[in-house]
Amino acid sequence: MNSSLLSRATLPHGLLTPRGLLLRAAILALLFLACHAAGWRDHATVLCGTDPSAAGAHLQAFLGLIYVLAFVGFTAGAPILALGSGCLWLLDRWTLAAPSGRGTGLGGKEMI
Amino acid sequence: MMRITFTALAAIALLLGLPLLGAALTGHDVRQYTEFPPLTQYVTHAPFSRAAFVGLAILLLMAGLPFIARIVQSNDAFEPREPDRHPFPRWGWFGLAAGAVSWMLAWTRFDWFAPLQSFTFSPLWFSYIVVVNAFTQWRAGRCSLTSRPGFMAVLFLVSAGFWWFFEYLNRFVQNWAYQNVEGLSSMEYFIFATLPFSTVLPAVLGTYELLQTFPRLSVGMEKFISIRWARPRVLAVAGLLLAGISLAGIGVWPDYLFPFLWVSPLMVIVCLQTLRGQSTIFSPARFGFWRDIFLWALAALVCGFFWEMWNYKSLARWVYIVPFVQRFHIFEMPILGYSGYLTFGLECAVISDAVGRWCNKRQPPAIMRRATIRTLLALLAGAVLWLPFMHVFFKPPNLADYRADAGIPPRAAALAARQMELWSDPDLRQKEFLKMRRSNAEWDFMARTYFVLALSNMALREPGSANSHLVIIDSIIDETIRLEKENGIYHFLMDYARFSPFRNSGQRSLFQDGEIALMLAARRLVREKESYRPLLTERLRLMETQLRESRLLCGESYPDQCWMFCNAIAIDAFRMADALDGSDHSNLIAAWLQSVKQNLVDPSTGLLYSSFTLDGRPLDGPEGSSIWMIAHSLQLVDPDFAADQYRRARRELGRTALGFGWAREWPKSWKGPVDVDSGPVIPILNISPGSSGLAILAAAAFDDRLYLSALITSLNYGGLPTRKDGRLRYCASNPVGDAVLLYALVQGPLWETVNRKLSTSQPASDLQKEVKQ
Repeated sequence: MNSSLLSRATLPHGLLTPRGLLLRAAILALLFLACHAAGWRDHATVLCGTDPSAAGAHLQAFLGLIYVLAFVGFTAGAPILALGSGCLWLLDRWTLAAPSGRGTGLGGKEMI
Repeated sequence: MMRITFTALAAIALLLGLPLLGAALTGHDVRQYTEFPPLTQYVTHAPFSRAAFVGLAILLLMAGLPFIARIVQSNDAFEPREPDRHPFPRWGWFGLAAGAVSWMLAWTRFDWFAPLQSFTFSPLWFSYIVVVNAFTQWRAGRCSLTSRPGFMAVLFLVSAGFWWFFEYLNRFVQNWAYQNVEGLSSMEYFIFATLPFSTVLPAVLGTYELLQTFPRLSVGMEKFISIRWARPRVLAVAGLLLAGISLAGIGVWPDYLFPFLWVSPLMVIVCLQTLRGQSTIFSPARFGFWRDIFLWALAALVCGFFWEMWNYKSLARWVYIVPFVQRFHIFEMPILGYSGYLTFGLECAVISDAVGRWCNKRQPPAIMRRATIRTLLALLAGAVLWLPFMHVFFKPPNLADYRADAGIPPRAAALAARQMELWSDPDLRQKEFLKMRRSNAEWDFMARTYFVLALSNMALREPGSANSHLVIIDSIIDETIRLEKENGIYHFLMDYARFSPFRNSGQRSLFQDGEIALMLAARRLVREKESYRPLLTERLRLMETQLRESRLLCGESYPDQCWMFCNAIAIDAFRMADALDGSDHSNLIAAWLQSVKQNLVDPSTGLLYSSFTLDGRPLDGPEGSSIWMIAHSLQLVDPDFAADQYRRARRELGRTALGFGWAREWPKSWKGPVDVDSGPVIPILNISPGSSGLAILAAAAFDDRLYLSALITSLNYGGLPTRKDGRLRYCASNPVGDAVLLYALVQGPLWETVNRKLSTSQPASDLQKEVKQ
């Protein structure tokens, strides 16, 4: 995925829109699944102070930390973003007028 | 805005990750770079080199002289306009007065000011910021402090993170080190460092704005050399590669790549901006406009002079160790080191500009504010909806799956299956135990002890499985004793045990003798094994000799270092031996209990000290990784005292929130050093995985079901359980942690067996009476 594709995937929906929040939740989930599929869960033993590599290189410790962060992002961050997306959608629907779709965040222009 | 955000995120990822990645890939221990507070010096620097000094000086002169020449030439023809006159603001006088007082206090040593002597940097630099803004207001009629207060507030916050980043990079090159800050705890160090760090960007910005009011300083810079690149993107890629490689290499070759600490962050940001089609700080140079670049560099140099000057005689101060050029100092900084401030000024410019753009939103402020507030409210609602219920997904639906009064709970059986796999596969065991030994050789030893204790309890819970369990128990005990015999007592001790001799006459470690005795006794309690009887008797004899040599009836685990954990286990071994062989160590046990209660209790918490010298001087306070097991051990010899210790530990160390439970490593009242036995501690919440794991043992032993349930919820979340073919392990743990968990879930029958045997020979109340006397 080149940078322009990544940009189009992430940029059109700013952080301040329901779709944007949902997209970021999905990104967190995908990041975690990628780390899990890569088997980095086994390296999380770095959390208890044990170097996950017996051979001496410490890359696995670094990957273990990445996995833990991705895990927290998936278990705490993504649900909050997803629920926040729903709450923002409800809030937009009930509180804002929507001339030309602007400000709704639903297929409208990005807020930022 | 999103392009800026993407650029910022990419820059942050590169700047933070590359140095660590480079160090990790080349086999460096990354833990030294994450030490906090960063006090250990581990980089040896190259000595002064005349050739390097002269070469660098020539390069700097060649780079700087054209600018100076241009300014001098342009000043001849320059006719400044008459400046508008503005009153010097009153708050400026306050800044001057505060600065003068702070300067005096920083450079003097009054007895009455001693408690605050280390903290003069912050008031001095806050005063400086006020003063430079006051002078700018006086000369130009406005300044950022009064015209953009919100922006300045954000800049203070960003500045703290900005300079912490350079402190992080310094971990790899160690070009500067702080003195007279050793007594601070981690939190104190963080707070008292963050405050002065927050003044960096505002100080440089304020100085830049003040220098702008002196047009003679930069005359000629608005029409200077034009620099245009035919292929800026190609150059940006090359620059990014160079910066990336140098950042990755600063920990590997600090003597040669240390200048990139000051250059690479700027290169990374500018190259990323170029690649994304954004303007950079060097964009005006295409048209010969160098004024801002020049003034920002000069501003940082001016601030650098004041930083170094005020640091020079302050108590809490920094010193430099710069390879090859460590000579001809102005204050603490070698003269060529001041060149680093020039590029640092440009980095301050880039960050300040980014903060300014972020504060100056493109869309009408009202719309952005509403959108931001709505989104924040929505996220808050999301957090309120999710966080209180998140624990439901990890809470044990049935605690009996983990802890039961009889039989082997399913989770315990799965944990045991994994442990048995380790002990039946020598290659796997060696691989896993080697990982543990690299951190702490004690964990290898303790994994054996806890698994033997667990198997002993399992054998008592299900006598039908005793035969297979005893085979494993015997193999563990035999191998442990063999390794001790072949390699000496240091095989299971950390390296510092060799630094000095033990003080006890037998040169023994109670840590090893106590746990081996406990394993032997546990095995014999399940089923007698005659060959272990003399081994146990001999261990007890050695331990008793060591205890009785000490005024406090306590034994060394390390030279002149007694661990309450080990002493309590040793006392348990005596008690188990009494149950097995009809011996009578009740006087010794009673005397030991009296001694520890009188001499080794932390007065602020009422908890036993974790470690102390033979003379009784505390070394560590009540440490979570120890006190939970101590309380459990005491159940065998003094149930009332044990319950009291558990209640206190629960109060001081046990925490629950949102359905999750954890344990701190240290009580709030104790400012103890980090002990490597503890393992990492997650800051702010002070979550100690080691303490939390042992808290599960104590909560199970004292039947504290609510806390146990909360702890297991945290275990299921943060422990990262993994099941494979019916075998359970926790990925965030290690074999000793899993062995402790297994023991926690099955413990009980062994202690009950001891008490039952003793009650038939001695009324339980007799020992209590002796203890109370």
